[in-house]
Parts: sequence; structure tokens; C-alpha cells
Amino acid sequence: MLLLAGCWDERLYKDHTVVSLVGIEGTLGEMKGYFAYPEVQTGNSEVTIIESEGIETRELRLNADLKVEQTIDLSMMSTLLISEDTAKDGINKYLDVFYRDPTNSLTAFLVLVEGDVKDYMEASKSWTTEAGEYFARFIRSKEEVSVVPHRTVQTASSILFSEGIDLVLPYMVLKDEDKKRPELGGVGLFSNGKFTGRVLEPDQSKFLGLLLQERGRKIKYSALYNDQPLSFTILNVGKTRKIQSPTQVKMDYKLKIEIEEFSDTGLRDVKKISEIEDFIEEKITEEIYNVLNILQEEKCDALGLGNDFRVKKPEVFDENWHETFSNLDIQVNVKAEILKTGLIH
Amino acid sequence: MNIQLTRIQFFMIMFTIFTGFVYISIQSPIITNGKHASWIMFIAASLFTYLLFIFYEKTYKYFILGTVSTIIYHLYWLFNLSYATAFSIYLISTWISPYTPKIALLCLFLIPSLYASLSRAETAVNIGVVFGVFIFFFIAFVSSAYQDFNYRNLLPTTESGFNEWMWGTLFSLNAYRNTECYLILRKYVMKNQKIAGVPLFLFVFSLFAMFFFSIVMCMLYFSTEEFSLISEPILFLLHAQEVTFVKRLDLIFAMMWIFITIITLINYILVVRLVHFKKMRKFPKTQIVIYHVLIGFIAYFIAKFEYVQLIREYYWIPFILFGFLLPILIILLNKVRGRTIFDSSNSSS
Repeated sequence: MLLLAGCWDERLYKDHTVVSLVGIEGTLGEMKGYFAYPEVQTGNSEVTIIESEGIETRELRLNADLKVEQTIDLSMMSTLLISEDTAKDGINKYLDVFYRDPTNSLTAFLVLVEGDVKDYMEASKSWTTEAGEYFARFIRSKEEVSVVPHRTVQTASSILFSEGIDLVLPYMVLKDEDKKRPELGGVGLFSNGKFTGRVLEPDQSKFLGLLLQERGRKIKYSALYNDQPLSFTILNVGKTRKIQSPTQVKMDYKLKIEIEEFSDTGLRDVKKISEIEDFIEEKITEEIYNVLNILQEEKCDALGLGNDFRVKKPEVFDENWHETFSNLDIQVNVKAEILKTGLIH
Repeated sequence: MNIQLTRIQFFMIMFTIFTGFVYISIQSPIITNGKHASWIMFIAASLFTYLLFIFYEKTYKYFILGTVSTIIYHLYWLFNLSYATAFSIYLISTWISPYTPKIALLCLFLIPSLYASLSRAETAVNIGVVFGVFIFFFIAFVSSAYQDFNYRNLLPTTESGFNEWMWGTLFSLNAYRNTECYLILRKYVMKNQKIAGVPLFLFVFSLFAMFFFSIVMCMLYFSTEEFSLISEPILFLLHAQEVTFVKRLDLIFAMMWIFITIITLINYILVVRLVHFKKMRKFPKTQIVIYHVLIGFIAYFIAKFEYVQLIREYYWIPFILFGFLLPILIILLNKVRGRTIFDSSNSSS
């Protein structure tokens, strides 16, 4: 009986154009969409880009359907590229179609791009891997080292619906002259669901990663200590956040460190270890304050402090939360502990 | 028609009847109405239901359905089964098979149910064991979303006012809306099997744990505001999971849920049969076929978004009316009259 019921709903691969990368730009009323899919041409699989125009996201797909011999299928979409102007308009309304249709992939990564989306789509033609999977792998590898947070269609929508946290998305740029290799420009900051236009550089965004402390992620950092290179990995972050008063938050971070590079005389001396720990604490505290200042300037509560206030001090959490957040006195205390030094002292 | 149930069989039938239809959709109305304190409301509703079960266990012997109450329950059950079937085919057509005709989906549910109902009663009684495997997979799949859980979604519990508490609790009670089936099936449990005390507690606790798990997992995963958009959060949660062995985890769960729904339908119709065929009736098989056709007919017409949503809004009523008020009224009336099921069965035989 189940097999019989499936007859009407069989979806054969040969009848569908399986798109792995989608790009949207423009705002409601005047939008452009790009759909990348692999096509076998002269024996090789090559990426084909379909461009369409429309007044909203669904129409982009319907119009793109008119340009291919099969039906466009987004069930295997790995990445959705969004232009800055679209993001500045507030992305929730553009995501509805991806969220509503059960055949769409909710695990696709959302990526902001600088400039024309078309350039990023065209760049995918020179890659041997599937266009969407390239971006997905790129983002996953950056997630591992906390440079970008994990944001898919579903997790982003969840944040956009929540009033106590703001979205941040990976931000990619095309810097090379022939525009073939996109690179990470950092993390784009949102406030109230709209892109602020401000981007945290990758060096800064890793500290946002530290503040967000997603499980299983590492953070790598390099600095000069007494003119000697010092590189380390933050293996684990212990975090406590405490609301001291309606205007003050205290955040304590306990970091477990592994030294990766330190070409000084060695670390046998316990005093030296303690000195380096102090140095690391000082450096990281400084970096965290820099990031927090930018977040507060942009009224981007990416840390979800609003949710903390909603739970513990609901009287402070109101429709003016973003204003309150920008004026919060946030105190950060970092404690570093060196756990490992590699094979040598 | 007469059957003898062991304690395990009795609890297994009850477990499927309680969880089968509603499990996939119960979370949204509770959380939308109850907000952040929904999980506490569900605990409160479950405590109330446990006390009600204790009361029913002590008084089930007074639950004798007369002519009027039998008609009322038959009408309610027919509607309830039709709505459950309509909701099931609506859900399948949304999540799995948008192009499969409604009539084929109806057959998917009703033909196995008809077959089981025409077979010996033991077929329906024992079919619920499939549930065990389902629970194991379900817990494992849902727990895989733990990285995206946010405990702050469960707080603050103090912001919910009287309205939130009232509606949140009423929709929580909907999880236990088929309580009258307990009263009907209880008398078929073998006399030497103990139900009161620890067995009853374990049964209610396992029901509670199953529902509570799903409510808390959904609350941890989704922000409260999302529930006004998402009607089947469990499926949505699974849809958003990325695993290596399958692209859409929600489809596996939905397929399991189809089997569970069919089993629930079979068990529920067993309850209807026990009441209807209490007296010897002519052409029992024809009547069972007609009953299934009726369910199919009603379900066919209400399996639309508009009707499903409309009925869903008012689906806190069945527990209050048919699971709570009417049974208590029947029990009290018979207690005053001094009639018990034992006298009744003696007189009918």
C-alpha cells in the first residue's frame, strides 16, 4: 500500500535540475536570482548558472524554471548566497519560501556576499566540486576554528524570530583580480533582522566565536610575545554570564590553552608559564573588548544577552532592547590555563 | 464480543490510543498558548490527569454506558476517528506525498484498520508492540539536535498570566483526551492483574515522559515565537537535522508515525467495537465495513487546511467533555443508583 501511494509522488533524478547553490540579490519588487547546477557537457560535468528576475524569491525560482528543460529542485541546496542590499532590507521575508517548503533543505548555509552575487556564481564554474558544496565545505572548515558561527536556514530563522538575540552571518568577498576564488571577509552583523553593513574581520570574528562558545570548536591565535612568535589554540571555553545590575553584565571565561608555537628558551620554568598565561589573558581580553565595542556600536546582540535579560531581568527587556544593549556596561574577565605545550617544552 | 487483556496489553493499547494521533502536533498549541511556562503547565495537567486516573481506577465499575451516553460516545468517536484520519492524510500530503490522491491515502489508513477489525480481536490487541522500536529511534533522532538547544527558551516561567495558564493547561490536557477509553477497556483486564498503585503510576509516568520529552525538546530547539508558524515542530526539528545516512530524517519519523497512526486507529476501533458489540448484533462484519466507510467519507471532506485548523483550535473540548465531565457524571449517577458493570454484565448475559 505504501509503495502504491508513492507512485504519484516519485521524483526521478532525470526529471529534476538539482541545484546546489542559490544566490539572491535586490529587494522585493526587483530581485535577481541565480541557480547553479551541474550539467554534463562534452563528457564532463560543468556548472551551469541560470539567471532569473522576479518580484520575490518564489517568482525567481518559477522564472528560472522556464529556462531549464527539467524542474528546478532545491532539496540538495547546500548554500544560499545573499547580497548586502537584500540583507539590509531584512532577510526574514526572503527566507520564508525556503522555510515553508518541506522539500527544501533547511540545513543549507546562509552566506552574505560583497558586491554582485553573479560574480560568486560565475566563480563556481572554475571549481571541480559542486558549487554549493564548495561554499558549504568552506564555511564548515571556518566553523571548526570559530571564525564563523554555525548558521543555516533553520538556525538563522530561529534567531530571526527570537527578539533576544541577533543574527551574524559569514561574509564573503572576491578580492583576486580574475574573481575566481572567494575568500572570507569576516562576519556580517545584523540588528533587528537587518544587516547593519558592518563586518567583523576574521581576526575579530574568532573572538565572537569565543564569546558564543559553540561546542566542539577551537580557536587559534597568534601574537608576538617579547618579539617571539607565540601561537596557541583555545581548546575549551568555560563561560559564566551574570547580570550584575540592569545596566551591567559580567562575563567570565576560563580558557584551556595548547601552545602550538613558542620559540623562546622554553617553558620549563613555572613562572614563565604563568607570565604567558597573563599575557594571553591580557591579549584576549583586549580583543574581546574590541569586538564587544563593535557589537554595541552596531546594536547587534549576537551574544543573546537579550535572552539572558528576558529570563533574569524581564523588566529591562522591552522593545528598546537594542538601545539598552548598546549602552550596557559589559565586564569581561578572562582566565587562561595552559594545558599542553605540544611535544617539546 | 469479549476479550481478556493482560496488564501489559491493556497499557499498550492505552499508550497507542493516547499518543498515536496527537503526538506529532500536540506541542504547538500548548507552547503557543502557554509561552515559556508551557512545560510547567504540562506537568500540572499531567498531575491532574494522574489523580483522575486514580479516581477512575477506583470507580471504573460504575462506568456503565446507557443508551443515550452510548449514542453520544459513538458520535464523538466517529468524529474523533474521522478527524484523526483527516489530520493524518492532510499531514502526509503536506510532508511526504503532495501528489498522492486523498482517496489513496485514506485507503492507506483504512484498509489495514478494516482488515484488523474484521480479524480476531487479538490482532488489534497485540499490534502495539511495534511502538517500542519507534520510541527508541525517536529519542535518538530528536536528541541529535542537542547542539542547537537553548535552555533560556524554557524561562522565564513567571511571565505567563491567567490566560496563558488557562489555555496552556487546557491544550496540555488534550494530550490525555481519550481517558474514557481507560474506563471502557479496564473491565476487560484479567481479574488477577493488579492495575492500581505502581503499575498505574508507571503507565501515566511513561505517557507523561513521552509527551514531556517532546515538548521540552521543541521548546529548547525553537524560539517561542516560531511556534505560531510551525504546526508540527517534531517533524520540523528532524527536518533540520543533518545526518550522514539520510537526507531527510523527518521522512523516516513520518513513516513510523504512519504505522503508529494505523495501529492507533485499529486500537481505537477495537474500543468502539467493544461498546457496540456488547450486545449480539446482526451482520457485525457489514457494520464494521460501514463504520470504516463512514470514517473515510467524513475524513475525505474535512482533510483541508481550513477545517483541520478550525477543529484544532477547539480540540481542548474533547477531554473536558468526553474524558472528564461525562465519565464523572455517568460514574456518579450509577454510584447513586448502586449499579456496577458486574451487575450490568450479569443482567445482559
